[in-house]
Amino acid sequence: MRNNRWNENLKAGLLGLAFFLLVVLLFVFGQDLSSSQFIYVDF
Amino acid sequence: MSRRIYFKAVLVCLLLFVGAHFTLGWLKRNPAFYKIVNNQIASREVLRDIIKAHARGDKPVILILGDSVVYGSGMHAHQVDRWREQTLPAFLEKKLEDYTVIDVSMDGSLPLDYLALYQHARELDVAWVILNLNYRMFSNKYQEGPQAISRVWLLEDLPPNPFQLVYQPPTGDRILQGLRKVSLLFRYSEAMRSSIFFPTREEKFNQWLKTLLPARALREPEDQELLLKLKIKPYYFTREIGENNVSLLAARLLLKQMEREGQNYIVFFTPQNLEFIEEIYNQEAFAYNLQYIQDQLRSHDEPENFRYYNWSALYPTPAFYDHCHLTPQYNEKLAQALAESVRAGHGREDAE
Repeated sequence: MRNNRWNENLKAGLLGLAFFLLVVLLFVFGQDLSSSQFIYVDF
Repeated sequence: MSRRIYFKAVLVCLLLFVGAHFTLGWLKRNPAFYKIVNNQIASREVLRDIIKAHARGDKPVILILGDSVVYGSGMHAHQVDRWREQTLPAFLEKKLEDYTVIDVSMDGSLPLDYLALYQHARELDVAWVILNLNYRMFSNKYQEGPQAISRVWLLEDLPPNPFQLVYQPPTGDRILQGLRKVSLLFRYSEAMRSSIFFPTREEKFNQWLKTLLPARALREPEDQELLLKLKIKPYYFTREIGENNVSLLAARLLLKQMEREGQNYIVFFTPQNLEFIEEIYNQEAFAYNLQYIQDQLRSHDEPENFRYYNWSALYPTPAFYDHCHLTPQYNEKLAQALAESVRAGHGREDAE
């Protein structure tokens, strides 16, 4: 019973960590989404 | 898997986000932290963090505004080991140990960027502002609307100016701005991205390709110089500049503001590799423009506090990797010259 619970916790921990790393990797290696839109008014 | 596992996984993930946020919040107070991201100023928020982190000490502050020459991009392109430790600001910090040097140099900076960057430093008690000017900055390429500033996010920091540039970020950018404000993880992931893919993704992929498959390199070494000359020809084959040159106007606005506020500054015109640019520059316009820029910018009121050095012809060809980027040895020499200028009561014309 206790083993089962630890198994579950371990799986949940790994799953959470994997998701966290996925998001961080997306942040770092994803394309820069910001545009450089610029309004130019009469120089 | 049961629902309970997913619930716990989400909880773990959230805890990791919160943990990362607070860890970064603690780390960003330390100036050494910015070495991890090679001092990449990827956003306004990172800029604010860098200034705050450095301003904590009680030593007098030197603020360095600069472009790729100051940032050390030439050393990076030539894969110099520990290149960030051999930049001009790094050497200056070693030579002036009783000062705190804040390096806010960015690849591709222009005088309009400097004008905005300086506004951030005004809240500090800055002993000296040091900035470099480069021939590229005054070329026609950078005198038209969107090209006159290298980072659009700096526009909102510009003091009243005659340029009438307005930045209206689209919704996507506003969302990203919000994310940067609330999430330190996102803020520093961006800085990390800029650092990993410096100077551009394309360049970085080429470099990786060259390492993995040398035979498949997209650019032969002998083509590099030719390509670079093609790229920089518009910077050097320019006509004579006039008083409407936006970069010159921006530099004048900045220097006038600093003079008004009693802010000591040192401006130096970056050494140029005359042999490299020989084939591509407009010789007459080059000499004229250097003189014109100096005449427009050099202060006649208090030359002791407001110094302008034209160091364009200071170093011989071996000092350079290309048209203007200096080798570590000459970065150190330049830092020595600047350190002497800071220490001495007198400006000097020659840094040899």
